[in-house]
Amino acid sequence: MQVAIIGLGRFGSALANILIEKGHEVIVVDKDEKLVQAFENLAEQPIVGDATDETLLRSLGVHNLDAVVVAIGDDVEASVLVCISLLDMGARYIIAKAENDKHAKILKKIGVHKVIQPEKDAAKSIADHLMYPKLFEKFNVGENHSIVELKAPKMFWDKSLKELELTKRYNILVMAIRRRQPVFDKRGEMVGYKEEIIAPPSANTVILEHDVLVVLAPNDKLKEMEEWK
Amino acid sequence: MKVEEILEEVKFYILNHKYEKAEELLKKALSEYPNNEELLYNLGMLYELMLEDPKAEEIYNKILELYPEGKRFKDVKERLKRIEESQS
Repeated sequence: MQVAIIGLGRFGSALANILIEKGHEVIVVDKDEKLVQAFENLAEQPIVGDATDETLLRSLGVHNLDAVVVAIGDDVEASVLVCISLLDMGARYIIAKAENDKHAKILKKIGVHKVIQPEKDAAKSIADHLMYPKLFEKFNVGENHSIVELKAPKMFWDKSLKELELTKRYNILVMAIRRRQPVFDKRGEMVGYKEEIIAPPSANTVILEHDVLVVLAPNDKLKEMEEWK
Repeated sequence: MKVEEILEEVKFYILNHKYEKAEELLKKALSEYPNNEELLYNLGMLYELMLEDPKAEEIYNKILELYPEGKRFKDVKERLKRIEESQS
């Protein structure tokens, strides 16, 4: 994947490092030479310059990139200007970081494809984790439902979904099961595991010890699910 | 019971997804053969199967500390690296 990251503050730099580590081609742009220097031998193109300068943006060939991340949070005007230029140049997918709700609203209004507020998003995720520590992941589905991942409670082990009647009893739906399966070598020694995804599980699927259930649940059931043993 | 026999029994439990039984057996065996490299290694992998990665990390670090020349050293290092990557 080819991605340009504009703005190398803490968020932009962290994102660039992760993408580079994962083998993607990353172009980094920042006005601060020192910040760009840190990516000199890592990024596909480390560029020192002002991204509000359209000539510079045009030189990146943004319409050919898979995504452009505008990680300029503290300068709202620059962030908006860069996003407008990127949209005009036909950037395929723009993700922009917003400093606050007002900034986010403007970015959405001008047509940025995805607006993120990393601090707010992280705070929400930590709040969810504090409220529901046993749920590994939580995604909101509309206002009243969530998709959550939880370790199958003991009371479900060795029972089929048909026996458990989870939809009827708890109004929840098991959408998938994640299961770590042991892997043995030719000599019969355990050498690791592979993760199996059973999606969708059938009524006859039996839940095993330490399965992870991916569940669609109403939010008012989450507290009860936390208490399952 | 010899370590090999214990590991055969552990394998039986693991194949049947009776991880808690396997854990109980390995812990008991470790009180008889304290710090045995093979028993520790199997317990570490069992914890990975049980999604108890912090416990697996603890066991793997113990193996690295106790057996810097051991036959599992390289593999354990790899496993630790994978756990760290999955957490980040």
